[in-house]
Amino acid sequence: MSELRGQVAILNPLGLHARPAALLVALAQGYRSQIVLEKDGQRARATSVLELLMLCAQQGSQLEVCVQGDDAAEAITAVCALFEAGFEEPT
Amino acid sequence: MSGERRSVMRGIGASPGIAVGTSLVIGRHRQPVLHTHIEPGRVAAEVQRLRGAVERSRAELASVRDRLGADAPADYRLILDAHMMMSRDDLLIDGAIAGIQQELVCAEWAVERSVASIRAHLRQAPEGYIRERAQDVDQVGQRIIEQLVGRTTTLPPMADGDVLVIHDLHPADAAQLLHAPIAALVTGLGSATSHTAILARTLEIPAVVGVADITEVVGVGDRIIVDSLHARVVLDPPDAECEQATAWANRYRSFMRRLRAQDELPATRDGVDVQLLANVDLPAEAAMAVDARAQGIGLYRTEFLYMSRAQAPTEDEQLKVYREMASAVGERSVVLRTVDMGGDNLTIPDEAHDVPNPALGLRAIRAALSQPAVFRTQLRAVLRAATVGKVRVMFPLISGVAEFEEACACLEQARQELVERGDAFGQVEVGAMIELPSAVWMADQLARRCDFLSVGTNDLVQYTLGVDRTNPDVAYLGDALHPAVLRQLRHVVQAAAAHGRDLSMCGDMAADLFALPIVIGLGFRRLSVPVSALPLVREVVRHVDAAAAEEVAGQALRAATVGDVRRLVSEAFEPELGPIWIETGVLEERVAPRG
Repeated sequence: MSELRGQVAILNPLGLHARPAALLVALAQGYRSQIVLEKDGQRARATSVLELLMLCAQQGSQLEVCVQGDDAAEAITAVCALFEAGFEEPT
Repeated sequence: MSGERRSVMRGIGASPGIAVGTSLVIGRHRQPVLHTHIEPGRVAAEVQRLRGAVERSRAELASVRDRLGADAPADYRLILDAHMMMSRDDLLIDGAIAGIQQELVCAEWAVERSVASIRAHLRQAPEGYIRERAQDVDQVGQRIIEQLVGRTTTLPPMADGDVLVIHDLHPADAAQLLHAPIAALVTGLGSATSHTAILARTLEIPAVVGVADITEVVGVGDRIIVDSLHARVVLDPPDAECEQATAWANRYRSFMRRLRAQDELPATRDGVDVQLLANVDLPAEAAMAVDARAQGIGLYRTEFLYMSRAQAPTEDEQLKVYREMASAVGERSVVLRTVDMGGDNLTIPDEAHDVPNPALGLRAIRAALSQPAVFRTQLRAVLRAATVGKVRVMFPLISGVAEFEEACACLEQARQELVERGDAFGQVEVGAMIELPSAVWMADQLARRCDFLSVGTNDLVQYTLGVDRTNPDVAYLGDALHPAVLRQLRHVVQAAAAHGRDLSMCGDMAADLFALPIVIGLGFRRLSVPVSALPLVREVVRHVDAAAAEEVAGQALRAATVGDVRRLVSEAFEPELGPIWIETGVLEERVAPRG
């Protein structure tokens, strides 16, 4: 079991609102690893839309991603890609 | 609550008045939550119960989503997806489970608390769209709670100053609300003639119905102005507007109190008697009508008995209600209109057709004559009820003499059936409703054959101007002051007079405070109006000079457009009636007459 960490930034104008949060949850459900995001000391499980919303992460926020599990490598790659694509929202 | 997010939603004024209050919302999935504790031994079972409810509510959402057509708005699908995710969200569920395990609260309460905690966090977010998600969590929580509780018919306790916002009003609710201290009522469902509106009227508090989706939009504990006179509600109004509304509400209430206390029989300023009767749907309203000093019931719509039922009511069920109605009014008469369904009322129980023009289709007397057994059942009940009071019967949507005679033949047959059965029955006068242009032009022939006539202006306006009054795009065209309508009304007045027949008006026009001078000027001396309108109509009648009204009506009959007629009324009657018009919200809307 490995634990991997990374940094992601919020690129899309509306930040981590309901739609991106839903996308992230859908993504996270495809992996066995536990995925947690952290912003200014506040933690949110990537499996909880509500916890993600409550991070109130706006455009420009920097978040830390922490992934723990046997498919951690694939998981963290996928999560970072989603953020880098700005959740496919127009910028 | 500074009015930043003020918005206005329109509906239908079901019961007049204005009120400012705090919203108490009962959603579509109403579920007042009982706060109970559980035994420690029951924790595992309660957690199981919670999980089951969560799964069922998720499945319910999934099936709603699956049923969405291709043309459903994309964001609706997204919202459902978001709700589905939230409904098994770890934070929400873990929070509820913790409540069950640690505080020994029942699952419903645990969900409620978990939701409340999340809502509190979300509402503190600086971003508006995150704060708004609080509502999503609320709805998701309610859905889970509904699965736990099952449907219920009890309303939660209500306090002074509460404005009840509810999706639909059922008779059980209305009964509970009769003595509730609430300030006003707003419902999501309801057209002017639906059971929701009917029930709202019996409550005698300001009520606006048919405000689509209001329970989804308004927050719990939000400030709200219910303005039934303008048929709208204002959400999150600023302080200044609230003060204004409160002042108006107080003025309106004392104005109405003063009017209700007035004793004299209604007569115009120059001493012409005008009889005022009441339109009712329920026996409860009959008692209210008597209190409001109605001189009779000019229209008892019998549809309420048939609404929201799987089968038509039996003869005895109807008899009981009709007797109650007749007894409630004592000496005064009750005019029962036979069942008028189809169109924008519900269909008669047997019907399930999808017709393109229901208003022009099998409804009212046509529907009744097409189901003679059902029709005669009603007629027998009417005849039998006539033993306890003065009962008159009226056939709706009569299109001509042949149809009227056919309906009379059914009545005679019903009478024969009672004779054969040996049941007692009474004398019943028979009338025809004039609601179609064809009936207007046959008024003289109808007058010869009936005991009385009554003009139903709502339908008459609709059919004369070819306007579907339930279609919001064209409803504004259905103006009763259109010269084409006025000319027909004059014709009916003359026909009734020529044959010495009682004539009344029972549509919305009779309670239209702006149109009233013309109604009197055209020669109507008998008006049947909603109970709540009685004091106002009486007051306007007192301020109208019949001779002057006749003069103005004459000019209106020669006018070319609705705009011309409205200008005539304004100029002639604003000096006397202006204050009442302003107080009741009439004048504001009439300032720019539509040509």
